[in-house]
Amino acid sequence: MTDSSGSFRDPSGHVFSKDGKIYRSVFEPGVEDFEATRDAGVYDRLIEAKLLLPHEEVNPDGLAPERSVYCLSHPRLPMVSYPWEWSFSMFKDAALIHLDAMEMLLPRGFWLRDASAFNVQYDGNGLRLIDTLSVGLKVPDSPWVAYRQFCSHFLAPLAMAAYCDIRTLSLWRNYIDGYPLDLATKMLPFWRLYRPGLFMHLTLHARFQDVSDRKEDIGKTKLTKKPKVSDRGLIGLIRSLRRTVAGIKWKRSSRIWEKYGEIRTYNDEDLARKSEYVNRVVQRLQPNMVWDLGANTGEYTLIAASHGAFVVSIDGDPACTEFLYQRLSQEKGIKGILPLTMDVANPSPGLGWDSRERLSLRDRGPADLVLALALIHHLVFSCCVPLSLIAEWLGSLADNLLVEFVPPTDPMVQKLIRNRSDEHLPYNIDAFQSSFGVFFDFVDQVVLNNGRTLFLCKRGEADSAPRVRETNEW
Amino acid sequence: MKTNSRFVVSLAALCVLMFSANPAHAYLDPGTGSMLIQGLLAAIAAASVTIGIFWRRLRSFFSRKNSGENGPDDR
Repeated sequence: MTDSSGSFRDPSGHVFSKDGKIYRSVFEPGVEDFEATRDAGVYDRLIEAKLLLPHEEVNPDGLAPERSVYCLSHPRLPMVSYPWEWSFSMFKDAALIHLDAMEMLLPRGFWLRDASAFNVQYDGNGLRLIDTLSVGLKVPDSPWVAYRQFCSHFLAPLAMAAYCDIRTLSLWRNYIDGYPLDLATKMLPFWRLYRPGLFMHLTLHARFQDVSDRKEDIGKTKLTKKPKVSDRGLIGLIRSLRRTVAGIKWKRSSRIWEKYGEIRTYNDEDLARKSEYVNRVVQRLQPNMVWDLGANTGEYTLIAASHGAFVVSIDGDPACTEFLYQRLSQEKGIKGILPLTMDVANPSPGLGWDSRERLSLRDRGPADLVLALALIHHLVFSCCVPLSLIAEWLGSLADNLLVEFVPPTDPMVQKLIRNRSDEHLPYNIDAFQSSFGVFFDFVDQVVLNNGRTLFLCKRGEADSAPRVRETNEW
Repeated sequence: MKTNSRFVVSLAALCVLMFSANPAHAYLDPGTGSMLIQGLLAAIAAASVTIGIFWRRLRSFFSRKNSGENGPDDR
């Protein structure tokens, strides 16, 4: 039995895995809420509405820890992802799904006990709330216990991303308990702070927090009992949050089209051959999990997904992941693609308690197939990573690798080395093959008319590359 | 006797305090400031919902009256 590293905070229960299956224990403090929610048919409603990850009750004896009163079995998520990796619209949808659930729950006398961004995951078909035990009986006339969390997990990051800079979403890596509201009020443009929704839920909220915190610090707090909030008031509050969140829109920059131009340096014939080769490789390997690194707008992601693989489409440009996410939202037929924003040269580290509460990219692998198309030359020339380290890193992520080698004479490489000397980095086909040959066996290759070569590699059986590097050089 | 009754009253008060707390909701701190502002915003929201309901009723009352006078096409 392995405990889930990210589920130790809630005393009502926790998640564990056994024999590759995912289970959730319900402990005594969570029993009342669980039974009430189940008996009122609220879980069924939420699952039917595709808001909550399904579960089945199973016998906890011999499976769950002894103190478990109930044990639930959940379908395994294909890939866990975190808010610092999400595109803007995915993040916004994660906020809205909480409010959808609240609107369904409140009239039935229930609510969400928390509103954490980590409670939302993509299950291969859509976004779902995954924390079954966050649904509970509403406390009559009480303010929403998760209002503060909702504002700091969703409202502040969304407003900052849209109105300050999209790159502020990466601040999540630092503020894993949500953005401080006062930080948002300092960073947002003045006129945004006084628009009605943001004024109420962010500007005024931050001010109230500040005053209360100061009073509590000097022991002068006068709050002896919670303020009363009527049912009608609470629904009004949720609808006001919904209007505010829905109204936050990010105007995407045009940079995406500049990047897109890179693909177009290919002539049509080469492009068709490359797509055909990717198609053939995926068809041959039949992978369950594909990671497309440096995916751009997901052209090859879509090819891989068309054969039934679950594809994690990773690119460092938030405009690219946003473009792909919106395309997936609009074209209903495409499933099993998770676009994530991540700088491949600085992939998601392990974060939170003991750096293991939220998993690093590597700890979520390995993938059956990794696509590294038109990526290596960027890592070598823009990020100054030697080929040997790139090969070692990919060896820790991939069982199979489809990698494109772009020759030094290629216009894109010439553009990258225009203003710098490349003597410190050996970059040619021989250096490439000898570096990758340490970790991979070359299975197949195809040379395109533009001189680029696609190599299909399989991770070497007898290689000495450890999956997780055990030495800590620092 | 007096001491005893004081003790009983104190004990009863302590019990009331202990059991009136709701431990199921204690793991997430809702934040004092966040609760206070909700009191304010929810009061405004409740008032606006109530006003909205009355406004719609008022409008439908008059529009029914008008549609009766002017016929269904005159809107």
